[in-house]
Amino acid sequence: MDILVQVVISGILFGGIYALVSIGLTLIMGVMDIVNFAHGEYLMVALYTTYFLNQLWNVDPYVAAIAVIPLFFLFGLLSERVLIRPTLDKPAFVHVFVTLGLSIILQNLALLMFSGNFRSISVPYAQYSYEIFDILINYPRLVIFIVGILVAIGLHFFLHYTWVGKAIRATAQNKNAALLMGINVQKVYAITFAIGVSLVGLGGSLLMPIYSVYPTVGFQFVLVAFVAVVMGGLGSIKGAVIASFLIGLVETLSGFFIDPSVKQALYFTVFIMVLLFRPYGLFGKKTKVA
Amino acid sequence: MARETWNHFFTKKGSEHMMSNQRLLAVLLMAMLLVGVVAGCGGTQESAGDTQGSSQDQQVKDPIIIGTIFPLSGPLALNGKDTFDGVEIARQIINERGGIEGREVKFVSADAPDPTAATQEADRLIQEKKVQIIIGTQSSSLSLAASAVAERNKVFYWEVEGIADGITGRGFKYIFRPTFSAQMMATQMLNFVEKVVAPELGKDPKDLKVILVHEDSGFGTSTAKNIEAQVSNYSFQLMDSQSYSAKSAELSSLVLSLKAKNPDVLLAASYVNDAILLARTSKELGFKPPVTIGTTAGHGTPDFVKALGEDAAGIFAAGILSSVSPAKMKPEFKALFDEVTKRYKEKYNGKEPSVNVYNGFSGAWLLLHDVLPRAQNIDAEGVREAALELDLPEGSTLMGYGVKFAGPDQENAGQNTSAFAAVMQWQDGKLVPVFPDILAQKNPVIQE
Repeated sequence: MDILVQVVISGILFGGIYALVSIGLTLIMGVMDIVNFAHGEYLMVALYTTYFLNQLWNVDPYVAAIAVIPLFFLFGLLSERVLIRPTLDKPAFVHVFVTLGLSIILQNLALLMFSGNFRSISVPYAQYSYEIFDILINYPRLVIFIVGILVAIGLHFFLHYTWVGKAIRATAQNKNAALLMGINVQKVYAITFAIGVSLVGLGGSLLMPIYSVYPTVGFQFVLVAFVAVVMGGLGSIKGAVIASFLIGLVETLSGFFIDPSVKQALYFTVFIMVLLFRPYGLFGKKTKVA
Repeated sequence: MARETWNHFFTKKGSEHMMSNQRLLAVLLMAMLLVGVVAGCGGTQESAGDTQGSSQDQQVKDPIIIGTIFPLSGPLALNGKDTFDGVEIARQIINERGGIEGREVKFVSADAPDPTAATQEADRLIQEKKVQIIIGTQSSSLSLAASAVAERNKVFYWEVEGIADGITGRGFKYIFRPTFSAQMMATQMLNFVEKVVAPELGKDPKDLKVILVHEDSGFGTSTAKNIEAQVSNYSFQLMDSQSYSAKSAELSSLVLSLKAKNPDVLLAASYVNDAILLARTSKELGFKPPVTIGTTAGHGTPDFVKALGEDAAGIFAAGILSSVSPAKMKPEFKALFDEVTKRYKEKYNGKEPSVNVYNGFSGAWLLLHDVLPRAQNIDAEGVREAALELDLPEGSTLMGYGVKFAGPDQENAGQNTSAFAAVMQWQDGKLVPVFPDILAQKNPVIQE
């Protein structure tokens, strides 16, 4: 019984990691209609940033997050301005090429600059676990879980109760109508993209105590984040978060009770089942709302 | 198009900006491409040419020409150069001692940064330079490629460092490998469990609970197969064998299922990243088997100890020896060890030689000192027969092992069946050889 509870808790905590990574992705996808294939590489850059802040100046990764968020907001603004905006009105495959190209460039730059070594930091609390009735809850994973939930709730309120948030939702619903209502759509896009990127930056900082960083680390997380985003319904933050927890649970439970090698097959089966019965995802609608 | 006009009409910033952005992007991309091309070029330059070091005189007899293929540029160059340096030092010492029956040894060296280059260079050495003997290559992928060319042309190929099973597993007649194979690494893990771990834990090997985990790509799967195939020769059994993806970010479920089974020994065929995640997740979830034995591909890497810090202490890794100590060598090899160390340090301003240098030397020395002088004719056939006749006891090479090559009708033809892998343990942040005895520098520390 204990072990079952432990497996479920581990699965939920693990889902928190996917949730944190997929929130930014679903936001950009829902509002801008852009599939950001470089999402994993933004995560990689954030991990490297946190790593070097820690190695060079001994900055704690959680403190580094405070620097990484605004830094990545600027990084997001910059890449939106240079790469995304010029291609906004082009067909969708152009977005694919641009973001995929960016992802390849970032991966290879990282390989050139930092080599393919696996780098990790060691902070004293990294493997510390709270013990509650024989159930072990790892501290950094708990932090990710809580922050992931807070970010999702915070973003919900931001989108529903602030001017900028409302402008973002209006743009997501109908770009041209928003434009006619006097909303500066370009600005909205820039801000949306920057928020998405800074959220994945935050994710990078929080993941650093647990994982190693290397040039292709993004793949480890983003493939599943894409699944979570589609399963939850494109652009639905609530959907992405719930789908992330679902995938985390399926992975851990199947890994424990069946075999670690069938995990992927199983959550992809769940994914296909969801899409069979709800083609727009768990919380998706035919018209997308952020 | 309509959208574009809309944008143009409503927003201040029009298409001029867009154009300049696109141009900027294009320029950036071109620059990146250029950087890539320039970086790529460095790796494919050919650095071949005779290394005619000695200007001493003029033996009447023809020199013995040997081809060498090592990665001297590109990503594998770091270890490749070290191995080649060791090989080259062996040649120098042999020549200074009068060569082989009065004949000087000359190298035609080729640089092979990747398997394609290895194939081409092997072909060039054989067709243009007419070599009958080739020494290679540091990396298994290069060795597999180059030795296939040698076999086709009936040229003797001496592999001093690649450990892939395939190298001697193809039934080739002309490939010989003095060093151990991946299969023998698995053997050594099992030997260590039976001969050291069981007594240290105070258990009968029969009662030992041993679990194997392995990542599910080529490396982990082949290592696992090697272990599973050989375990029947031992008195313990594998309680379980589980595979996982090295790319998965989630290893909690694996760790929890291991914890539930509570093994005495965990054998792990992991890469670096998953070895780190496995160890960290184990600590998070309170799983600590008395003995963990990984390999030098994962648990024995510098990245692993950097990530784990003190938590790495006590973990074992089987595979390529981490450091060479002359303590247990025969006097003759002690002297050679000192000589290699001295020459390498002279060449590189006092830098300590890596294991690759000694390993390269050990392999080349065996060929030049023990095989070639026994050959009736110094051609592929003659050298091959001499190698097959060789039967040397443990301690007959710088790296400690004996020599007895598997014959063409045996399994793994050309493999030195007396070679062995090492088992090391992380002690005070260093990977210290602890098994077998002839390589051990310290005793293994095992606590219940």
